Amino acid sequence: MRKLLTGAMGRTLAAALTAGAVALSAGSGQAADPRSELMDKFQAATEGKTIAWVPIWLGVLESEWTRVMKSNFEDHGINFVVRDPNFKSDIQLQAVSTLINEKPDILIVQNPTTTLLARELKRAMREGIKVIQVNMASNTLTDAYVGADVPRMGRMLAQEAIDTCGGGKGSGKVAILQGEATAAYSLDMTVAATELLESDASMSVVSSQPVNWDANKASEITTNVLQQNPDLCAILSVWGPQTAGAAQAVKNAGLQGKVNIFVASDGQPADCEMVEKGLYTKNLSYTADRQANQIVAAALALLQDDRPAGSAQYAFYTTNYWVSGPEDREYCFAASN
Amino acid sequence: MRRLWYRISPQLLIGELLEKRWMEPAVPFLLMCAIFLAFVVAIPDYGSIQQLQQLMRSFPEQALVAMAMALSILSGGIDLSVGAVFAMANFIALYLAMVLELPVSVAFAGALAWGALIGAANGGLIAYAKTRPFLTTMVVLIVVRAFYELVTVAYATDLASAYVDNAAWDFVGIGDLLGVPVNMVCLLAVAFAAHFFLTRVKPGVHIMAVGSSRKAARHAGINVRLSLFLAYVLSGMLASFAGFLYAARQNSAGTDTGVGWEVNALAAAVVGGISLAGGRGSTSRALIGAAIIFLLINGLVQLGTHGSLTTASIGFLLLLAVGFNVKFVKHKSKILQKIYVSPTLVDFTPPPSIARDSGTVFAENDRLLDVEPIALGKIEGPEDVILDRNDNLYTVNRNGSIIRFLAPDYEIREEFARIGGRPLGLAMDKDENILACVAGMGVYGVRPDRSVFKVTDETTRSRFRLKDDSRLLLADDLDVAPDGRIFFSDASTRYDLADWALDGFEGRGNGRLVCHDPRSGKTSTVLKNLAFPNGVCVAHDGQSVYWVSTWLCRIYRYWIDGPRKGALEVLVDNLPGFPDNINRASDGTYWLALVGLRSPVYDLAMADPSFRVRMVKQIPPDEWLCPGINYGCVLKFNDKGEILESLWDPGATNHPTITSMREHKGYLYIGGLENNRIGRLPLPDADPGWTSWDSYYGDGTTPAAVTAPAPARKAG
Amino acid sequence: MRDAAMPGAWRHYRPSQAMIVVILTAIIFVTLSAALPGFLSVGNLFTLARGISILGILGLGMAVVVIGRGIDLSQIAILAVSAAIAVSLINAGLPEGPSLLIGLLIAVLAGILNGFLVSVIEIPPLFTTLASSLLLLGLTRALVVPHYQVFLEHSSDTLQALGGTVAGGLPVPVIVFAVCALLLHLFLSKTVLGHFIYAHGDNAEAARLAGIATRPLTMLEYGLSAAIGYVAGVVMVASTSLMHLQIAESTMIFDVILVVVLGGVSLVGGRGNVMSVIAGTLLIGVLLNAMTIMNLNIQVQNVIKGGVLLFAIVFDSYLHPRDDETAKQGD
Repeated sequence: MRKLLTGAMGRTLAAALTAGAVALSAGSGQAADPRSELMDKFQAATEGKTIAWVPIWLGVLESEWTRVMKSNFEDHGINFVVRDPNFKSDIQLQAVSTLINEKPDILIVQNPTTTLLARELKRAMREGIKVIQVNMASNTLTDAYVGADVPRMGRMLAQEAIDTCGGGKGSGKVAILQGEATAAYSLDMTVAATELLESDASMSVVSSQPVNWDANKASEITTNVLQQNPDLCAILSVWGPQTAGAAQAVKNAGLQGKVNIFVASDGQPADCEMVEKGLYTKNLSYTADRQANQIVAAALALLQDDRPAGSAQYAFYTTNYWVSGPEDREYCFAASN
Repeated sequence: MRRLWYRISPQLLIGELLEKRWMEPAVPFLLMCAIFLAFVVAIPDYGSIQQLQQLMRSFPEQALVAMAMALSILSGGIDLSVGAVFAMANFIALYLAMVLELPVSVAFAGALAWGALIGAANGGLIAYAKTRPFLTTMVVLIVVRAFYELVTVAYATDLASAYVDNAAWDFVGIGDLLGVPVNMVCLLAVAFAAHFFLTRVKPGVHIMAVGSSRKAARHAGINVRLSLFLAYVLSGMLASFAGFLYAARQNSAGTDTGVGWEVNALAAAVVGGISLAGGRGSTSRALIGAAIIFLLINGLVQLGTHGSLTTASIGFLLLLAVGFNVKFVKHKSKILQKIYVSPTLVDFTPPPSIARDSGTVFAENDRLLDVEPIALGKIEGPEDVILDRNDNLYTVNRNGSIIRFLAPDYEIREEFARIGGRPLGLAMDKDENILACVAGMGVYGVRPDRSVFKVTDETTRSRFRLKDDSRLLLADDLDVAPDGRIFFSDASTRYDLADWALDGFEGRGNGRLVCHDPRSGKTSTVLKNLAFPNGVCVAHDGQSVYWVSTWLCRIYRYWIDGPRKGALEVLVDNLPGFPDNINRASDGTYWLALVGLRSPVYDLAMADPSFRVRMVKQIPPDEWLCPGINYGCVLKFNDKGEILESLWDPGATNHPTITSMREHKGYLYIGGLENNRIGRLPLPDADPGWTSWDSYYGDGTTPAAVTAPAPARKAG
Repeated sequence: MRDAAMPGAWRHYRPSQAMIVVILTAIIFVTLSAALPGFLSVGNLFTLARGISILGILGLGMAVVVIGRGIDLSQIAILAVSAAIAVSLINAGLPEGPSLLIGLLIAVLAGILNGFLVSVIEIPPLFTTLASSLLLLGLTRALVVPHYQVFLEHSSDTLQALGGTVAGGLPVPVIVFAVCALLLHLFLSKTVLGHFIYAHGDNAEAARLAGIATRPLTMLEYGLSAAIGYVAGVVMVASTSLMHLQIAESTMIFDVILVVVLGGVSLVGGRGNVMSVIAGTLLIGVLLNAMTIMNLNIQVQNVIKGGVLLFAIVFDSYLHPRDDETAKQGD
């Protein structure tokens, strides 16, 4: 921490000196060096600006995003403000509303549902705050979206299930574990996967229930589903941690290896471990750490964009990687603590 | 300096503050203010208009749900279903307004109807099927919650894509009136209405009564079942109203909507100081509790606290606050008892000697030793005595009655009238009505036909004082001026009769002299801050009133008429005992009763307030050093303030605690606060035809005939 | 059955609440066996038993507190917190025995803290346990389990066995439940302390005046509840290798209270016994299992479960009418 601080201070000092030097050289009438000019423009656009970040809570994924953002933004001399609503949607709305009143330069949010923050995000852009939505979009389009191409992830998972279970290779029975029913991330992925699965006559979706990101609930539901469908072939899950409960339920039912578990993952280490232990069949990782760098890039780009808030609609879709064994460890980030 | 400190003791203020009923939620209220101030200091712009608006916009729904919970707790039950009802109402309003695109009024009605329905289910089961509230509403919570999850999943796609521009909807959700968010206006209106309902409207008061004691409510003729039913219906409607507002503001029906809100609401009610036993509390306390929790979470999140620490600190602070409040409410009366008594400094000079051989006018003698007892054992506590023109003797007793003993032998006792309270000083007005000061009630009168009437029971309230002193707490003695005005003493505004000794320990000017004018019907305080004003007597010339300060051992003269009107002077200072009632004597002088004797020890104690504080705090009441009131003495003084003679009962065998004496036709009748008799002492030198009534209202000549007491006998 | 614990209203040949519940359960059981193919299979019965034994163990702990006229809403939170800490310790390399002991110690301390707040500070139990679970969860997440869940990375066979089955397919959690039930039954009915708990719940003031140290007794009650809850937590970890703090925020605690109260452990205190808990657990278990076989989703299951419970509550108040003028809050 101290090292980071001194680093940041040193940089600020250096920047001040450079700025002084630039002023001097400009005064003496000499043409500025184009490379240092670029640096100056960058610093003018970024330094002392405020970026606010409101995740749903500080879970593993969000902590990773926060860690990467914090180190990058602080490096550039940007104020970075985090508000943790701790999984309470009404508090998240409060936090966003308050932040808009505080007028940061950029607001980064992770939407719990498509509707909750939609109105406030519009207001933010009217107030001149540029808004980036991360991974879970809302009904309002904002300056930038950074995240997985969720429908595509859904299709990739479904395709994997079809390849494994369809066409007589398995029973074709699939259970889908949703996240939260009204969260865009979960909703879009489920819809896309279901569409693809239903297009294949050999497949049938026997259960598609929201588990509210909760491993215990996933375990409960999976136990339930396995009771009725002992010949279940695959479980598709939209998020890693919640699937742990399902995997344990499968294991307790003595069906480990018989029921394939395909998981959309943010690349947190536990998910890779689950694959290595054979509890998950395959992970589709969108690598939160790389995604975090994309968030940083989007924020820096928006800071340097002179147009008012609401004029751009950038999208930064992340690339997904399959994780099927220890050799794919690079697609999981290291535990941040 | 020291004198001043004891005069304006801050203890006095705190003591009287603690006595206030609105001090009960003091801890939660102060906590709320402290939390808000702490965040104003810690977070920049926390107190800004914009931020305040934001807070006001975010708060109302939780507050309404807390009020719903509070209502059910006040009715003596609990409603755990509020969170689920809230969530479902949120969904219904959203569905009606956003998906079906119906008008806002329909959404509103739909949500409220839902709340009423579930409330009716709860209330029906609890009130009429007599099920247990905790379990019933818990099961309803589970069912409604499951139902909510079913419908939100079923309509998830509809809701997620619904986005209708509806001006009225947006006005409820994000509009404001004069800068105050609409939902906050709604909350204030509902809170005010709920408070009014529970404290002023019959069905509401019935709910509170049922919550306090079901049995008593039923005995009072309240329809207990209906009240309970109503409480749950209203609770459901409050929760669903919150759901409607939430829908308009958040536009979202997530899986976490309303989850755990019943727990927050319960916490809010408890933090606000609402008793879980029912019947004690108010909706405003629920609001305070909800605000505490809301501000805590909001502020901690704004400080950028990690969610885990927010949770932990809320748990910790809630326990701390409620623990402190529980102890505060429990020990408030004890604290009050400890600090209420606030003695002041009284400096006495040594009193004149009462030794037999001292040669002073106060020298002890045996003149009261052979007093003839009247009504021995037939009376308890004749504080004052008075005789009518037919020689019948009237006195008071500790049961709140005026007792009459019939002339001439006073053997026949009858209850002349019953007033209640503890009647003390007596007087007779021109129409021969008996006027009595009644401790705890005021001044009352009894007509010759025995009917009781109220003279006055209140006076002007003093400004700048916390304690409401408009009621007469300890009316002690009275007299009637020639123009009909009634002057009476209200001995203490801080202690009632049973605690007279505590007032003595304070030695503070807690009493007042009050005047009631029958012509205008008005009562006003004439003199205030008097140290236990006791006996009152209008002078023979009718120009002034004599009154005594018992704790200061003084006789004062207050001019009520003539050139010196309004002036106050000390007539006699440094009496050797504690003076009580004053009454006229036939020779143009005045009789004064000494209720007790000063002692050097007690004088010393009066000069040391801190000693008395320690005494009251540290030792049991029966060990307290009290004024010695087991000594009997009657004095006589004249208008110049000279003490003319003294009559003693040395061992106080007959008449301890002499509180009054009345001269009548050559006899002196002696009463005492704690005595079981009335004494009659012949006064050889007195005018044998003189009566008190003639002295006041007669034409100045001695009435010739003493009418036979025969008619009165008939009454007996 | 403890005759001493029978309230007056139960005399005159009226069946006890536990008996009613058992009969009700039997009726449902028979009906379902006839109607649902596969319901009566041994495998299914064992699944049923496994599913409800954790609920049953928790119910035993809760019963102790409720008999003592309290309520422990923090039971699940304590369970989650102490089990998560034990798992973290095992993951950190500490041997299993000491780790589990430390977890137990933490659970008991948390229970005693509840008891202290309830009996000495005199905060209402409903509120105490509600707030203390927030405190415990927050602290644990801040200090030990930052992301709400821990996986048991490696475990010995002994621990694994707790979540498995013995020969014949009987699940071990059921045995744990049976042992806990037996021990608690002996404690409540045969020991002086057990009788004191009944006395305390029946009339706390009278118990105090009779010379029972009610404050330490309250701490004992909450400590026991937490300890038994911790046993359930260990069984949970053994069968899922996972502890997720979020269960503390679920409605599971309400299920536990229902199981306890349904069988006749009245919230007014001093009523009911271990049999009551077993009866309540059986009813809930049969219901849950039937609905699972009928392929109902969780929400519909909850709705039906609620309907049956409401019926049970109304039926009970019809059979055992109470004098609501003398009823106490929380009843």
